[in-house]
Amino acid sequence: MPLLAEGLSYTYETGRASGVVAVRDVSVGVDVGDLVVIAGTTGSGKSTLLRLLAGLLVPTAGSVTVDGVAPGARETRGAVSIVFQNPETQFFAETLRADVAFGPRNLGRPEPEADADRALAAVNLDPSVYGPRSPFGLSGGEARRGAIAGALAMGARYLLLDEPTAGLDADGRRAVRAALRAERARSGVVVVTHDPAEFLDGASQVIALAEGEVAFSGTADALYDDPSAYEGAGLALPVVVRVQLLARRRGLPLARVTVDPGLAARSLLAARGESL
Amino acid sequence: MRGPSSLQGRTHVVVFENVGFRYPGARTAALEGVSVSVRPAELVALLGPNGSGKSTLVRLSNALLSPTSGRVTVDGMDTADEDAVWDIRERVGFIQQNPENQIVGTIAEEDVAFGPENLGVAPAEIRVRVDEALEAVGLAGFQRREPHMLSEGQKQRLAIAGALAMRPAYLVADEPTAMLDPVGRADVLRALRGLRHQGVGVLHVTHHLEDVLDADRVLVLASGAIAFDGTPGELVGDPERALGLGIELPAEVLLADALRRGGVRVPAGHPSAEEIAEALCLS
Repeated sequence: MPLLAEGLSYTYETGRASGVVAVRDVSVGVDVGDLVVIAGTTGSGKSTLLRLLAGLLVPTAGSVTVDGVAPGARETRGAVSIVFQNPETQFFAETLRADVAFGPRNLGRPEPEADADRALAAVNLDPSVYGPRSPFGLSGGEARRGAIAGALAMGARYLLLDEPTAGLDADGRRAVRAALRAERARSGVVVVTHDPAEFLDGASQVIALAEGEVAFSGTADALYDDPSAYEGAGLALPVVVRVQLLARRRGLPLARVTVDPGLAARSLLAARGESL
Repeated sequence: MRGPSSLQGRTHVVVFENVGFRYPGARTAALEGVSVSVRPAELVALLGPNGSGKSTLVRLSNALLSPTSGRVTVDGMDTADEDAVWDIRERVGFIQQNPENQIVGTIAEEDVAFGPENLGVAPAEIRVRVDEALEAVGLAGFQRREPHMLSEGQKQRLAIAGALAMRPAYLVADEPTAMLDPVGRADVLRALRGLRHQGVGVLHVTHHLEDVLDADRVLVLASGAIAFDGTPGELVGDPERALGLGIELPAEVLLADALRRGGVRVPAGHPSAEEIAEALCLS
């Protein structure tokens, strides 16, 4: 049974008669193997939604269940992990291994160091190399992956990440994307971002939020078939995708659309060869 | 006020001369042999991977750090000269990545007035500067707005207005769009571009080449040294070189390049989706 949110609403109390409604009537289901991308402009409610899914906020209306149980119940402890923006600012231990082992140790797991090493390997940081290193001397991409390992080490079946690639260079972003791809074998992954381009390939579901409500929900292919609601939410399709949609409209037979420029060029050239 | 009069006869330019910097206790230098310059009304982009020394260079430009070798001068004043530090910081404005960390006022105009107030500028003059600065960043009419009621992009533009109200000759912006959504990002980029027309020299640090395609010059740092000093067009026109420098080109530039190599006559530079699709279906 998945991580399931039904009819979620959340109102921030402002001390005035009516609060600020940040999320209104949102439903999401996440299974192991899923990559759910939640997109929206700043203030669209996406970070609030992520906190609701993690059980950090209690919804004003609607419900969240984790494998059929309320979040925070003993049997779901550690099942849902959230990685906040710039998580590497929360390192505190002398070694990366000790930092990543902190979560499983607090959950009373018998072998927190072994959990830490498995998590480091999962994000492609060799535990024998990176485990003994100071978390404060890592590059941007290494630090971000180390922080994600801290969430994985608790044995999360659902991994929720807020802007996981923001502020990273190209190599760092690629490494984080690869780590999340690998993690889908074990977990359901939810990514919140205002720049979803790099997560569209392979996303099982794309949700666009606008002013706290779902403006679009569906697969990437459904999004490409009719991007109007997505664009209405203040989001733009990547130029590479728009090229393929325009070419398709002009009669080029393209089987699938991708955000990868190399793959897109290959299929566009092939389709052009066919149609000539 | 120690205004422009004290600067007469000086060359107007920020110059790094063979600058090196090593953090205390660090085994390797963060910067080595860096020589660059930024002139008034010039938009210079600074790119480079995480850890390449971008932030160190930024801190050297406004005397937050002094070089351990070489020399940094701002309009002729040496940043290592402690007596010149305050004059230098008046000349070089600074914007950080996170707009939340740099707003102090309870309403927008108070925030913008904070800098000139601290410089001892006369109240009537402050009024003029605040209104001009807000207008310059597209926030005319926002004088009485509370900062927490602004979007992130508006907050970042407010921070830029705060720097402008000090009438700097230069503005150093350290990844000013990293935390913004596409709308906020476009607005901040427009505001930064507009500064050129006001004669302000801008050093814009970013990971995204597409943010600075209209810069006068692009500098690329790699492992603490300048690996490229040229125009954005030179990088866009040579994807292999850009890749070698660790610069990620916009995906559409890579697509256009790959299509060109496949025989499609895509216009040079940074074509739009429509132009690329047009070329695909015509040629």
